[in-house]
Amino acid sequence: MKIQDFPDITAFVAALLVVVAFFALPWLVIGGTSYTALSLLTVIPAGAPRYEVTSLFLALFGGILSLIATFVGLVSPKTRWVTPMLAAFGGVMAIFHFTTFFTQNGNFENLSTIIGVGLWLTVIGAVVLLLQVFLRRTGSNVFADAFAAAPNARYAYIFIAPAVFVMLALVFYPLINGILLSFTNATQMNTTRVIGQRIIPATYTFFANPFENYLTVLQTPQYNFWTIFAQTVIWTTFNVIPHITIGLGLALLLNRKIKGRAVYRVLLILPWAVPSYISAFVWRFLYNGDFGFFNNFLASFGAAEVPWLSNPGWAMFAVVVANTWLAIPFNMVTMLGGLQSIPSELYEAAVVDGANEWDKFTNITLPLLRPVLLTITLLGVIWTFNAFNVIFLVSEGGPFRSTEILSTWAWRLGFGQAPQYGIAAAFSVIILLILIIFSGSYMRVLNRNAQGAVA
Amino acid sequence: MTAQSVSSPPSTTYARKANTARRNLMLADIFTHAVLITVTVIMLFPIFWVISTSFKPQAEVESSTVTLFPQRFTLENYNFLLNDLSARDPATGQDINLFWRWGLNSLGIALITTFIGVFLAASCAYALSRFKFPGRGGVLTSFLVTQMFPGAILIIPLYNLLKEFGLLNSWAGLTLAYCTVALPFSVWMLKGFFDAIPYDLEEAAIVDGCTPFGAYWRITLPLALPGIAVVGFFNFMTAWNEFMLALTFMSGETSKTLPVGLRGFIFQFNTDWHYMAAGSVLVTIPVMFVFFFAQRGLISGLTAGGVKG
Amino acid sequence: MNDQERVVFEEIATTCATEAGVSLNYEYVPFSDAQNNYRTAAQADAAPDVLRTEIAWGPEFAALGYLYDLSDASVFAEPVTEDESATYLAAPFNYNTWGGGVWGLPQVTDAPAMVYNKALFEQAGLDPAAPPTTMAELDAAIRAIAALSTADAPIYGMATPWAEYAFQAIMWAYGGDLITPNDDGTYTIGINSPGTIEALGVVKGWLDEGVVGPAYDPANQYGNSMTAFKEGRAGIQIMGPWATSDMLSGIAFTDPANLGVAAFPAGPDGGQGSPVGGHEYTIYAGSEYPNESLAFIRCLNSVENQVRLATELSLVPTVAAAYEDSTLAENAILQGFLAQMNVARNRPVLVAGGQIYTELGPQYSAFILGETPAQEAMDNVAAAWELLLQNEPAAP
Repeated sequence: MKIQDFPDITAFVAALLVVVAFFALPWLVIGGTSYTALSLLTVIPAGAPRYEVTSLFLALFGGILSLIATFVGLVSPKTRWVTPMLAAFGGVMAIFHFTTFFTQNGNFENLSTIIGVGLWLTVIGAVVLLLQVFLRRTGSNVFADAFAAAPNARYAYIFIAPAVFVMLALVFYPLINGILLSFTNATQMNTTRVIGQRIIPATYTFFANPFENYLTVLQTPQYNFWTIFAQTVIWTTFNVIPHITIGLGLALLLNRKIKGRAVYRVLLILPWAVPSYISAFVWRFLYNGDFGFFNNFLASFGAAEVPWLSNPGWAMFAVVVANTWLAIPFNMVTMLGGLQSIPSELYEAAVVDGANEWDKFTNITLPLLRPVLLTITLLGVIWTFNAFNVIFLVSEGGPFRSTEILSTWAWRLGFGQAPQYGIAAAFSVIILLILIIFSGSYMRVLNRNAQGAVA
Repeated sequence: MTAQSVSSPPSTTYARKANTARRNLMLADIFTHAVLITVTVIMLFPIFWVISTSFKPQAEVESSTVTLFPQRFTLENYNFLLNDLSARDPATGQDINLFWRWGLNSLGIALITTFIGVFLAASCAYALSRFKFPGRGGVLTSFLVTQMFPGAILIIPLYNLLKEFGLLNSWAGLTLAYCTVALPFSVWMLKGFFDAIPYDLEEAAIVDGCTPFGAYWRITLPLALPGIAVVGFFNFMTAWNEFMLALTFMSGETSKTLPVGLRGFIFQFNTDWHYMAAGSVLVTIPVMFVFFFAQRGLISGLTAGGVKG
Repeated sequence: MNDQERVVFEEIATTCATEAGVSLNYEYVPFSDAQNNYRTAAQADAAPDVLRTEIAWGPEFAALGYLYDLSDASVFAEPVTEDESATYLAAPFNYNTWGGGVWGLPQVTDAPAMVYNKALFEQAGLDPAAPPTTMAELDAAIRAIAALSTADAPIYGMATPWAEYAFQAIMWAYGGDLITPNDDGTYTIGINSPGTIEALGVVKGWLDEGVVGPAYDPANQYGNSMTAFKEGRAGIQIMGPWATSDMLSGIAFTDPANLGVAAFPAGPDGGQGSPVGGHEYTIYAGSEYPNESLAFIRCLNSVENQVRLATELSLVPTVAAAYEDSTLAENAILQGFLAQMNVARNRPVLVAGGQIYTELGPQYSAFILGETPAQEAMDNVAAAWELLLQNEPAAP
């Protein structure tokens, strides 16, 4: 009986058994006590190198998994997509944890031979996997089919390699690291510090309940999550609506054939050239209670001065106005572009049919502008939700945190007075999840509407 | 014109209708101008204000009476920034002017980001536009999703990563960080531009024996230069204007970029508004010039290539 | 630090560098970023050898392992001894002694005192040579001065306390407190005690009646109150010695003799206090030249230099011997601040000590602006501080 005759389900089960055994068997002996791999994930005893150990065995595990799956896939051409996927997963995990371990613990002095060999196996496994993909030697039919349809795939991979590598290294690696960090109790006190010749190693642990930080963030009032979340929603809503309406209004006006509209167009986009942080400084100065322009202007009429940045309601109004000022040029230009792509014959035909301005707007302009409007709204929501400069520099979070939004607050938790990396990471993951859920639902509603409209 | 069965001769009615229409058009035009002028004033006022403030002495800036134009026009703020604001450069031990150094940092980092960013994005966008390959959808989606990331989620691990490799306070570290910020947007925009260029030319070249790389270099890139210019401009502006990452990664006084340097004028209890205004003007005016000349291409670039993609 | 201070500090540093035989790389960092910058640099072995730091940050840096213990004989050839410690004023030196080590040498100290406009005192019928010593007298003085205002030119009895920091003087007067470590390792939080609530009510009462102003604007209050005081529109202010040259530049104080400085009054139960702040010199634990750095710091803190800081910059020296200099004895403003130092109180000497204002500030503002009732605001602060204290590391 040849190994090719083993159905792939067997391969899958074998891989699964390896996983279970890996976690359950005693793996490392540290200080005379042995630990199962699972326990190392959760509680790491004092004195043992912490995250480094976790990286280590996860790297080894990934490498071994990758090797086994790849081997099975190589010899059994009829395996389905499962084994290559496992192989890919194992390989990526192996590489990731290998590099993590390497950056946290630059020397391999304290490792036993088994672990050292295992690390090399990891690298080899990952390399073999990638070679397979490149040489189109995977056993999976799905992959083979896909590559058959893409004769230029190898060129494509070379083209995208630099960009993808940069993104992997500088976006996905930190992202995974950040997510993992959110499962720990890392603060500035227990992370690695290098002081001259002395290296103070990291002593943070993973929580027994990985979502401990998330629960803390959501439930402890001192972390102000719900208040700041509400403020973020208010901030986003009251920003995006004016952006779109004012942008559309100005675009409509600029679309009319009046004299000097090119001049207006240029002048109205000039604010876009001003760096956002400088605009923030200028607005902060304008809002100054004592010698800001607005209050002095009001005072010169005898009107009461407004506590722009000292009153929570006014402060939110103030930062919204500042941010809208910043956003109008981009919105206006994009809408204008959309308007100009509507053929004027449509309008002329409508006039012949007796339509007035309002009819033209609702029946021609809006429907044809819909794609642009929807894209701009989605982009606007995402950018506003994540906005940092305006709030940070104009109101600094406002009188007693009343204009703080999730992104600035997360920064403060991570780089403010008492850095708590684990909590800040949990915050960031929550922000990301909110945005992903929003975008996903938005796109789904869009697609459903589009299909409905076509039908 | 359709014939009308009315008692008065058609020409007079037509003239009356035309007069009404012309008057309505004039009213609409006046309304348009009025609104546009008002909005323009509002949009340009802060810019005017910061320029005016930069020419006022500190006492006038911090007084309770506001003046639209400087009562005492002075260049001392600019003089301070360009000549007197100095510190010792730890690398060379010489005294250097901080403002110029910040400007140099910003400019250098922005230029390098532009080149690397455009280079990386162009080849990636080309492949995404021209080739079908397994994982194409995944790459596209992931580039889209990364634009959604809040800065906060990446900044702590990125900080640790740069710290491990000793890249904090250095051009290399911040440039790398900016590339990742600029890449997704650049790739999407350039893909749109490449999509608009027909494939026939490259196809012909490949049939003639050209490699895909050759076709890319010699045929497509020159054709896409306007789009590349637009994307390059965006990258430059992103790097030049970026604040949060620069604030976190560049802490040394001589390695700061302009945004972080200017923020240094906000002190614990007060702010040196006059210096900050002068600095703001110095930072913005060059950008405005470039913007002024580039805005035509920018707008057409945006509307043609980008947003619909 | 303002420009004048920068110039003087750099001159002193240059001279001392020559004496200590080291080359000097002098770098100035804005206060708001200094703590973060130092942490960033220190974590990666890139921090300067010597740091002039706000004293509240000292325990935190020490707990993180960034500072040398200056009394450590294994590192220093001539470590700091008890005798040397005794040459400094006690209150500022306290901050350096977290966990039993000596983490720095104080350079200057400060505690906000009651500064007042003598001319306005006379106009209001008060004796400029006998400023209020109790809160009751202060209340009367504030009202007397406020009575001078006319419809066009409001005059405030006292300028609005510019933040929770200045408020502490009033808080201590009425028996409130910050955090006190107990012997058994727990902490007593006094921020939500009845004394603090009473003090908050007093301040709000003054503001509501308009005898204290200008109106509270958290983002700009320091500048607004300072401007009002400098222009003679407010009679009293809670201000520290760091602002002396700023105040003397105001039109009301072209004659420096018009500026009166006295200890902030005591409350009904005799409570009195003002937060001790200041700056100290510390040595980075990764420095390759600990001995040279220590010699450098000692030179920076020489009596001659300390006297210079007092006379040129109106800062309050920390070296006791500096006060024997005759020029200091004649400096009325300095003597006023010194009087305040004698009844000043330490902020908590904890790692969390540098972080307590993060929560206190916003809640204080919330109360003053009428958004939150006093007890609730202070309870929020207490809860946040308990969270902070949970992370308080044990002393080494």
